[in-house]
Amino acid sequence: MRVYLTIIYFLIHYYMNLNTFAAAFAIAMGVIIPAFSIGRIGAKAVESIARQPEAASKIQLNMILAAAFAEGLGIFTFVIAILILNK
Amino acid sequence: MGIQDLEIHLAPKTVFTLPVGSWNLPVTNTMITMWLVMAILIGLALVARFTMKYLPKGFYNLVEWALGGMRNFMKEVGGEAAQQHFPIFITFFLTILFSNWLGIAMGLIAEQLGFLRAPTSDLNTTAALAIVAFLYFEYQGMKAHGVFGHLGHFFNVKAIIDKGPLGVIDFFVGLLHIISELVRPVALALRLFGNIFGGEIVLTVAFLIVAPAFPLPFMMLEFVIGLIQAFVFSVLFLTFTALNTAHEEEEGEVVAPTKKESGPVIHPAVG
Repeated sequence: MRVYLTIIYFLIHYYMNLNTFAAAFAIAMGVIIPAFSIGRIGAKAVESIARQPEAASKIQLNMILAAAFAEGLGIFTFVIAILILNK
Repeated sequence: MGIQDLEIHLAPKTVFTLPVGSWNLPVTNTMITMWLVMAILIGLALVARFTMKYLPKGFYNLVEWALGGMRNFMKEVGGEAAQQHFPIFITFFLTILFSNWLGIAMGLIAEQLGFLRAPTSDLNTTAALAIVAFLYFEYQGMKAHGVFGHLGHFFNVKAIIDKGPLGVIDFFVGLLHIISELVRPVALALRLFGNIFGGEIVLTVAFLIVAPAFPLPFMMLEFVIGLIQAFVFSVLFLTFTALNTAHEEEEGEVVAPTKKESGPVIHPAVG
């Protein structure tokens, strides 16, 4: 276990800038989690439109707003990743 | 130029400096694009103004149709009371929409020459827009509730006086509202900036990899995102304004009839 950790440490140390790793990790998290939440928002919206097609326009509006909120949090990590890389 | 030479600049490039008195005003490429957007919008508005007729025809008809559609849409979102915010709402929408789309159309040349860049891909522009929006909806809140009434939502001294010790909870909830209020302009600015700036980077990388065919789907995606972001910014602005101007007692009255209407629609078997 310790050997592996040492190897990984040296790999990161010699072949990769830790800043790059931090930015890549941040943007990965910031893509994965909002992707799940936006998928869930879309799925629920489609479900409720199928159940009640008259309310489609209202549901779509709220869906876009909720998706924008979820995506805005992902955008924060994007900005942070850019800031880390530009340091 | 290959993918290795790609440099991403958060700050826009300064094209030239304008001496204003003893102070040099740097003119950046995003500012020039913003002036272009302003020129286009003002030109369109003037053309629509001078071709105004009793029976609309041609371009003026298109403008009237679009603005009427937006007005109806506003009525759906914010209710009848939101109609008075129509001018600033449509200004935000059109400015952001034209900035985003012009940025994509010009962005192909832009990254090489560094001459034109979408104004909304500059944090200064989006921050300015968000600050204007913030000041506007705070002002509207103060206009609707009075200065102390509006500030009373955040420093809820009235609850402590009315309810005694239990009012302390309301007081702390009010303090939390300060944070949610202050986060609004920051989130508005960063969301718009991040989306458009990220889109520009994606387009540039796609252009550097395979020039003609590969970027096309991304460009289509960016056009849709530009529209959605303009929409989201202006609708969020409208929602915040409506939230700040809403009266608590009236809100219950507004909600009640819509519930009654939608009640019989739900099938008992389904619902």
